[in-house]
Amino acid sequence: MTKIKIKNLIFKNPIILASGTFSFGDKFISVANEMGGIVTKGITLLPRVGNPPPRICETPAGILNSVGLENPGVDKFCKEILPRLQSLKTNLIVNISANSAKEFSILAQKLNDTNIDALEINISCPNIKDKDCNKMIGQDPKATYEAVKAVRKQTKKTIITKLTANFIDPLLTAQAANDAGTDAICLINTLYGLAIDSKTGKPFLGGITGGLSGPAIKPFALYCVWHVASKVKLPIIGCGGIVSADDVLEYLHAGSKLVEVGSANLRNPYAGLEILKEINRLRG
Amino acid sequence: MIRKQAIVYRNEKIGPDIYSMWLRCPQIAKIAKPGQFVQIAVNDSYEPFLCRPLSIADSTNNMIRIIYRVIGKGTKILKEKKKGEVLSILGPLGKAIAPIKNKNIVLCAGGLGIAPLLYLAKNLKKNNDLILFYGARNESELILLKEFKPLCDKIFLSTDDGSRGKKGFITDILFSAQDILANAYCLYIAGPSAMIKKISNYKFNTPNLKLFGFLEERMGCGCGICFGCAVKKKENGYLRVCTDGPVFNLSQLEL
Repeated sequence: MTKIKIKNLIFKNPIILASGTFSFGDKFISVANEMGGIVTKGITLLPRVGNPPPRICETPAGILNSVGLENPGVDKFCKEILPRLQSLKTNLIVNISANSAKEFSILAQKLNDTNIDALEINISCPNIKDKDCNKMIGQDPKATYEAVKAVRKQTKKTIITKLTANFIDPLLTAQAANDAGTDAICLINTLYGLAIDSKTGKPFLGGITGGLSGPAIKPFALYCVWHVASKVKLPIIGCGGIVSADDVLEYLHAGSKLVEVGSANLRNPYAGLEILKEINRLRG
Repeated sequence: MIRKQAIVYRNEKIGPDIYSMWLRCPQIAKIAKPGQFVQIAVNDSYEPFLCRPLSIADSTNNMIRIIYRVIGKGTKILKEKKKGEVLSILGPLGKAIAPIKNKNIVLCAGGLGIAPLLYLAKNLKKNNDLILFYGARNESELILLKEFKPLCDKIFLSTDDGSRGKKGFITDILFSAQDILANAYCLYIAGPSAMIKKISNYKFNTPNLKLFGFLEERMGCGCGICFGCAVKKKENGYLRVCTDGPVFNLSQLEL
């Protein structure tokens, strides 16, 4: 299969396992090793215990989640988890999440001295709001620019910026991320969602609202990729509802260089591997 | 843990909306232990999207048994499966219950909680004495009694409507059986979360009695990669039902 290059980083195939759907890359290592890359669960500066349960709600052809970025914090990640990932034979991309450019800068600095392959800047998690503008950083082009710039200043590693399409045209934030020096963008993170228990009238999820993913959002995510790809000269990683080789090809046709497979891993942890085999078969 | 194609061997109604399914899947059946569960993809489409986590109610060399109540779209599809049909299953998942020897063990089931206790009882029977407390809504929902009879020294039953056993909740019978609990090494509880919570918070006069609960939570992956099925620890933070459980020593949880 043709190798794909972003900055100096080579991907042996176009499939990356998406953040939040494959632990820290420490499980199903034989699957991860065959992929183009694996993105860790989101890492924050301080540990986060995550949201109260229920954290998962199944929706038509999709999932609503409010896991809430449960993670041990960057220091414990570097000390205890990263050493276990040294044998990975794929690109290790660490997803970092923060609510200010300053925090992003510290995270990037701490991870710059490690041998990870790339950083994915998560400015689009429905669970985290920016301290100053009280919305997701990824909903504000200026805040997006500041966050990406802060990371860029700290590292020469490949930077992917994961964007949102929640109440913002991702073209605006894609351009801001480009101006600030990102090497690639990932489109899209989960969409806002709410589930209500019809009997009690109360929100179903412990975190009240959640992020929607799965095949239900694929047409919209595909649209976002196509919309941005025609106007921004940045490598795009398409993400949203990919469950088959056909889905991958659709994203590549829409303008993605690579894709991230997410929710499909929850249905089947071998999904990435099965999709890859199918692509190889289709491409002969 | 492996993902395999399992072949439906039997799928029969054993109570009102309650079904028992035997699946031929030697690779998983051979290594399945009490306390564990499987993730079943009920079809090849993406609706419903997620797999159904179902506890292992029994296991032989070649087959595993699951017992389910038809309540949602997944189980509605499952009940239509005929002999010879194929399902993708991931398993065995979760922590196995470690073997116990020469103890008095009490089992307490509410409703379909009886299912995982069957496999546990079959394994514990050889080396231990078992007593079962089992409550359900009515007589027709008291399933698997014939199978439990040879496994238990005593069985206490209750139904909400009094159609069999004592009328009322099984927890009330359990709490009044102080002599049994005083001699027991541990108590395994499986059933509705309210029942597990009630037992977990009850002030037993037997401080050394260990309480183990079979927990249920909305699950994503079932194998520890999505962090979706959280249960609160006594100290700060959460454990994962799928990989830290699903059977927990209740003293470590805040229910």
